[in-house]
Amino acid sequence: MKIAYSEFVTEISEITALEELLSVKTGSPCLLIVQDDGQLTAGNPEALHEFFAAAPFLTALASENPDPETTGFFDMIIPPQDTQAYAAALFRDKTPMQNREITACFVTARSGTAEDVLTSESRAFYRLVAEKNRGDSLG
Amino acid sequence: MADITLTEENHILTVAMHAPKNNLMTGLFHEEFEEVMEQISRKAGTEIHGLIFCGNGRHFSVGADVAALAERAGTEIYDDASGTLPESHKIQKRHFTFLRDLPFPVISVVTGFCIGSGSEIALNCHYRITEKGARIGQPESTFGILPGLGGIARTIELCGMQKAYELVMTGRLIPAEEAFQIGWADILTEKKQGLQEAFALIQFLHKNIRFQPECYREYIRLYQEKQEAVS
Repeated sequence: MKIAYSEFVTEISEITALEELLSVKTGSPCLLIVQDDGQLTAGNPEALHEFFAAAPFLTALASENPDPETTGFFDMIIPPQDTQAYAAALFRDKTPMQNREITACFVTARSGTAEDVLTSESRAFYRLVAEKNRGDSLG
Repeated sequence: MADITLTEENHILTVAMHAPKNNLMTGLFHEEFEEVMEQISRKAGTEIHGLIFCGNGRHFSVGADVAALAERAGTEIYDDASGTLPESHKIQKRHFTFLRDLPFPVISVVTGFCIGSGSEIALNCHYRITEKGARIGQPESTFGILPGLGGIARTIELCGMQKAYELVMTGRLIPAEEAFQIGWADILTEKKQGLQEAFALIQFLHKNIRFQPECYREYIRLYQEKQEAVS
């Protein structure tokens, strides 16, 4: 297994089963990318459902031909090539706080109601306005 | 003349926005918008067949005056420890989100720029009819903030997690065709055909279903299937 950490992304490659993620130190990314070399299987479905449902980051399967057995766990399916460029486009030109606050709203959406997300975006808005008005933001 | 006018004809309400600078959503715009939304909410129990939002000029709305927005929001009291939002924000947001609960179809006819808070007006409607040439987006992240009037919640509902995340995080503006492809827009029309399509949609829904707002996504599929059968 290979794990590459950066400020907002953890990328995992050379795994054969998603179950291996259960013992991985994912760090604190906004986005966890898992590379699928075409051989990826799932594993313990209950444990995986719990892991992915509770993940405090978004999850992306980087796969050319994603298997239905594995795709359902992930928030996103992205092409396996240029994952760093994909991630860079998402996270550039924003403060770390912005990246984390926006991501948190999406994490809320995974299992929350529409009302939960509406509330989450409002609170995040005011926290970001406070940061912006302190002069910490790029905007 | 007011910057936002509400008219009623043949049981159809139309909100036409013709504020300066392509419907720039200033503090004054929001005040007028909220007054008009209050008038609309009083119509909820009456014999209204539908509500249409449109820009009176070339653009739907270029969104909020960001500098004024940040300045105003910075003076409001938000208690992060308790998560208690400013009352003014709750009221303002409710004037957007209540549109989904109205017992008649609410449609935005999107032309030109439909950006930021302008896009959030459209997103909080049941349906979006988008004319070719329109450009849509949530560029708030490029200004240091995020969409706080339903932009995130509603984009996720319509476009799914991935597309919504990409749109909100990048702030990218997308053309009408792409908006239709990803589910942001329900109907794509040629230029100057959007209003006609909105009236046709309202008439179809009034004739064929008893509108329940929680089923709005099911109804548009019926209309789209009918359109496909005809074409």
